[in-house]
Amino acid sequence: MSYQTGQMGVAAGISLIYMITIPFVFLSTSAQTIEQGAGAAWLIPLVSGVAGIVMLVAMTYVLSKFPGDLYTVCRKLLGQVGAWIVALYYVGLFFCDSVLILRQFAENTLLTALPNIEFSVVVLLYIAVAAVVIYPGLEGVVRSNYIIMPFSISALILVVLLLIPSYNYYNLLPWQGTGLEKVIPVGLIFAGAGAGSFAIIILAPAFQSAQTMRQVAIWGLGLSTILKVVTVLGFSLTFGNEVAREKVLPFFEMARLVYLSRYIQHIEALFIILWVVAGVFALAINFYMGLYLITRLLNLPTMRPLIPIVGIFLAQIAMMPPDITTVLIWDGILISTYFNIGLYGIPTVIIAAASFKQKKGRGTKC
Amino acid sequence: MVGNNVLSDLVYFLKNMLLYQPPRLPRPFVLNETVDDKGQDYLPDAKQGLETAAQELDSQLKYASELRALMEKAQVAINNQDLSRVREVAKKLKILEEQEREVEPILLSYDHDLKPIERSVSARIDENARIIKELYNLPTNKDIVMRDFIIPGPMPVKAMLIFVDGLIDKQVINQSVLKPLMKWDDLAKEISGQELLTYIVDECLPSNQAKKATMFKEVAEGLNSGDSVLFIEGVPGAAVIETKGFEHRGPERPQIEQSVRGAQAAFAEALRVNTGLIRSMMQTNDLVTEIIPVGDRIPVKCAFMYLKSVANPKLVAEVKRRIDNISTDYINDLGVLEQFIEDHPTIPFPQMLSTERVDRVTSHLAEGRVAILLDGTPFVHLVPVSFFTFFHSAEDFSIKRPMGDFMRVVRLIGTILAVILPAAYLAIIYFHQEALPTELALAIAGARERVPFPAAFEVVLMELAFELIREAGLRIPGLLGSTIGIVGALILGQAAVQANLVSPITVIIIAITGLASFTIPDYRLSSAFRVLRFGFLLLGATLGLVGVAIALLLVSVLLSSMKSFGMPYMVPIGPKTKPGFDTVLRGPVFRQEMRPDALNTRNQRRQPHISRKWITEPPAGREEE
Amino acid sequence: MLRLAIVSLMILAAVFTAGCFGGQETDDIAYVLVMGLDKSKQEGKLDVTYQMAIPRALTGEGASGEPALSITLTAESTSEARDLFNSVVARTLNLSHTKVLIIGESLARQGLGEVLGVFMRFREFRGGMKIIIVNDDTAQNFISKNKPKMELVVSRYYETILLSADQSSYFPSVNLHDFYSRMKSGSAAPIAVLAGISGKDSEQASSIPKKPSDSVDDYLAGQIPRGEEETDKEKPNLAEFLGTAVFREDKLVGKLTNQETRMMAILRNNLQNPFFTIDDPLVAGKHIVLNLRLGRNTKLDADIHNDQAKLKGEIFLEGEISSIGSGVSYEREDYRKLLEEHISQTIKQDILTMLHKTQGMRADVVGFGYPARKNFRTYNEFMQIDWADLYSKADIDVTVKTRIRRTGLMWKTSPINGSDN
Repeated sequence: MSYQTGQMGVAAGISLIYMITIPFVFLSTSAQTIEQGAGAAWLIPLVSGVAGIVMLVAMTYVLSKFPGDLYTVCRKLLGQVGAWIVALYYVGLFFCDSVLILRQFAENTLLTALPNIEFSVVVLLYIAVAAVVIYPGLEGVVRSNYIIMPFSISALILVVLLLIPSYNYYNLLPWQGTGLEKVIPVGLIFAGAGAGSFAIIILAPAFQSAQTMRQVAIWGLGLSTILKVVTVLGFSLTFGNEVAREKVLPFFEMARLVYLSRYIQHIEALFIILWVVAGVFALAINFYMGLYLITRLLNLPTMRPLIPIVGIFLAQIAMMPPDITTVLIWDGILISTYFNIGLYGIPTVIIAAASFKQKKGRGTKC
Repeated sequence: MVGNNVLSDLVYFLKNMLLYQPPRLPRPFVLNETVDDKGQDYLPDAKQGLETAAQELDSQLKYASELRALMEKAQVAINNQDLSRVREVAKKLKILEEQEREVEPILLSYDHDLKPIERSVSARIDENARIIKELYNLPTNKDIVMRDFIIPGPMPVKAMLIFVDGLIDKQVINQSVLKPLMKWDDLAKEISGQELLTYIVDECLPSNQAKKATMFKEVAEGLNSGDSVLFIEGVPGAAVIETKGFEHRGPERPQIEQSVRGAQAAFAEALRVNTGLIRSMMQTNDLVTEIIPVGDRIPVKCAFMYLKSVANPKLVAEVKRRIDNISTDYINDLGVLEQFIEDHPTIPFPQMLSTERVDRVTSHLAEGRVAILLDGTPFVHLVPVSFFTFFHSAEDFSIKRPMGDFMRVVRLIGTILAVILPAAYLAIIYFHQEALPTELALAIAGARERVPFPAAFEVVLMELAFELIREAGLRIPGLLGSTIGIVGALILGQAAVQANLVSPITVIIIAITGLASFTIPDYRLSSAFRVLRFGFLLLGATLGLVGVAIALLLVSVLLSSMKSFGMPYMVPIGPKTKPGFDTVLRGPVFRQEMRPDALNTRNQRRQPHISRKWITEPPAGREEE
Repeated sequence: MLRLAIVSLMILAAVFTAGCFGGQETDDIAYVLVMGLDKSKQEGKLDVTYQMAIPRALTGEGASGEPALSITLTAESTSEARDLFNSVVARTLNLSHTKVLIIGESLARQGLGEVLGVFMRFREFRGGMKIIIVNDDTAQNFISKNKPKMELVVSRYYETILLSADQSSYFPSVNLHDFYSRMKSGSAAPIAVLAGISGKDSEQASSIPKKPSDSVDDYLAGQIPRGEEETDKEKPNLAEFLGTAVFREDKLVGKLTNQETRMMAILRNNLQNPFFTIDDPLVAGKHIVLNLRLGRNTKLDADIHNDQAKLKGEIFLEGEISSIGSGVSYEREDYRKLLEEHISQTIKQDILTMLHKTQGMRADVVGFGYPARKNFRTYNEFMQIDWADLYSKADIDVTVKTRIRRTGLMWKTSPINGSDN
């Protein structure tokens, strides 16, 4: 079966989670967190990251008791219908994420890199590249992202460091931001943006053991959480709440502001490479995960014929919203509702069912 | 003659025009499709059956007439009461008996239906001669020498020595084949047939390799590789005597992979010279050389070598399986063979390391790779390889770490420049003018002010010019090559700028790109990147840095999903394996404790944790303390 | 393989049919290096001045003619002006290399909030652009009179002079991002560089009364007295950068002179190493010149109690003596202590004068509003207060400490020997 993913180690898993969660940095989300959290905005990604890690690690414990991937575990614990519902839910989640990423990165491109390009060309270009990228399978994508990862992380950190001369540390005051009682719930709700990291649970058989997955969950989500915290910190230190929350593209604005000398300035164009790569990888992996689940559900021998069809479908959906503001609002709504079901709801149900079953199992044994 | 005046010229001219007749020429030669082009090999010829039948009858007739002659002789001898004659006749009879077996009609018809190459050696020397003539298209083919002679002794026997001129050493034939045989007079025993052949091979010929052959296939193989073949009347077999002596180049200094340090021996064309070179540098019984002929019509010897105790047996089996399962006419170069056996023949990246350096081969063999050699190719290919191996050069480990690392980093930077510089230049000046410092943006704009072409055309023009220079420099004979490079680079560039065809900045960009592409140590990788560069250029010129990013991404995904003989191409970083301290930078030699993880060798460890044992011991002269 | 070929063909077709996606040849673009904005004589309109580079003049071979070209148009807005420029200039305008935004005083007094929106929103502008206010003049006039003689490209001139601002601290270097964040933050007042053309009205120079404590004259941009022949309009460059334009919200409300700007720089940690001229504490009428720098970062603090703000500043200066006009041995320890005390007092006085002046303008130029945030638990509480009001009524306490660490290349002063003393 050609949709089989091959073996993945810790490195590949970290790369997978990194790919799914990093678009946060390049999209408008950090501006939204600052709107919500003011001086304490950096706490929001931290709280979301911790919440994500906790849920993911809890799921790996379930998997160590009930081996298999998400679908088989659900079938064992929730029955056939339950498993189908869960799988279809995640198909929806990954396709939603693909559409949102596709649309936002296309808008991004139009806004910054290529202002004169036709919008539909950008959308088709990205989906076509994503399709070509996932065509040979998951291994190539994950591996090449792992190769690119050090460069993208260091470029990200570099921008934050180059901005040090424009930092105003008082921008973090008052330190509670909009109030801790508001910031922490917001953080928990924003965690939905990381629901895609459940990909490792879906691909569980590809990992060597539950132990590997636990490491992947902690290191992968930990890494992306740290990067998110660092960018949000850098962003709010540089711009302050009032200006920061006005921005559509925080990372682009940060790169634009770098002005160290006559020669080290105007560097935002060089970071186009960084966010295009991150965007296409994120799109590709969400695209792949959705297709993988469909293939798995219907027990198809290969996903390849589905790639162009679903790709065109996704591109069409991505072109539907009339303007970028609608997309941003929808993004917020989906993250706070739909995605959170995937992060909190379904795992809780599964964990509850697992513990119930285990207790029952122990009971009958005794 | 009439005086040559204008009038007469005019008259001749008109006459010629009116009465023109084309000269009578034979019909020009046209290489038409020949009628029997397709059929010969695979469809039985209608005439063939008749011919073989005629041959059958012919040989039976010959046998009969010989038998009759012998009977006449015997009658005469018996009549004369000549004992020695009788003995002679008896011996002849033995020979005839030997031959009789072949003349049996069933065997004969079976034999004659076979192709000459598949037949067994006959006991009759003239039959053998006929088959050899058929095999080698004699007398059209002038390379085959058939030397008839008689082995003297009490019972002189007819013999025939056959060899291919140009492949043999005449000295060897004269001194150690013909001389002992022709001056042989101590054949006391009366032996004949197979025994005679065994006796000759075992006791008579002072040649280093001699073996018996019974099939013409073996005979032909021997002849083709420079051996001589000895046929003896009455012996259904032949002796294949090693007399190789063809002209070949010996090992010389490396031409392509030059180095300051390290061994200075390069491979030559002859397979045996190459295997010998490797073995002479790796003197161990562990080193195995297997030889498989490849090519159906013209077999060429292909060897692969590995260390038995290190190399993964599955890898060795896979290499053998792939080479064994090639069905083609002729493979004349290792580069061709490579395309037959590599994992992704359509991807331009090399998936084997090709080297002409012996020391490089031995170091990779020691790591557990397999070396593939082909007769006639002065290169050795190594499998499996990772992408990063192509950035290593032979001497990286011979010099100390900082210099070795520095050179590797320079190469990597060169590679990146060679691939993306022109694309990034076009992307930036077309789409992202803000990325340049203001003065530079203005300087580029100022320089391009008088150029009448778009920047993309300029770059493509110069790229093309550069490729022309490179190709011309390569194809032009000898000394002129370097001149072309200088003339092309200096004069062409300067003139193009002065003629306002291109801007100076484009010349600089292309010159740097070209220079950078020469830092890639592997020629084939550099050609792959050269091709890729145009793809990058296209995407960069149409989509700006977004295009460059997409191109980079596609290339990296392509590289990461490739495999070289089952080993992922981007190992050890994608997938990540145990670090071997030899990827981009290299670690100290004494910390290279493990063989590359991805090769999954039989024996992972190559040195103990503390390989410099002396650091734990007291220094010399202080042992007693 | 076939599918791959089809996909790649489709991509290629898409690429080619859609043309070049807006890529522009270098000779289709005109780079605008400087942008000027003025209030137009027509009501509610703007005079927009673009100064563009002429790349041909920079190639070296035909380096004849002006390297820059400036054009002024009147339009409703800057964006409208850009379209109008398209009808005047053959090439497409590219604003991504615009280095400075020069604004005439009358427009600044009217308010910049409306004008600046486009600079934050349009992608070719960036926060790193410097913002310059022309003292008592129009931006158009400033741009046309400013003809740098040393720099080939005018953008280089602006960048160089503004990057060297901290050398003397006589003028700040403010970019659009700083200006805009201060405008929005409510914790500080926006400031900008003041620039002007020399000799426009030389009688104005005397209009600033010289305070008795001052040993050096105060100037605003355009008021530096120059040599006689230099007023000749042809020869030198008459542009000057001196002083600070102070805004409340988005309106220009006042100006700080060069000395006041320097005091502000001390509080804003922007003092690199300028020369201070101080009255000699012992010999009247003589001056001491010192090279002072910040020994430690200036600490600002603000406490709010019952709607009464208390602002604190702690300053520590280190210095080197450059010249002692009177010849008194200030290198000796007892005299040095005296001198240090005198310097501290003088600078403290100057700082307080400057701060009181800005309190009168209700403009917190230093940014005491940022440390004031620590008095609040949440951001919303902070946003409730009117910082400008609190600032104008605040108590200010500044402590200045000075240490003279070095005495230049001389370590003692011998008196001038002569019979007439």
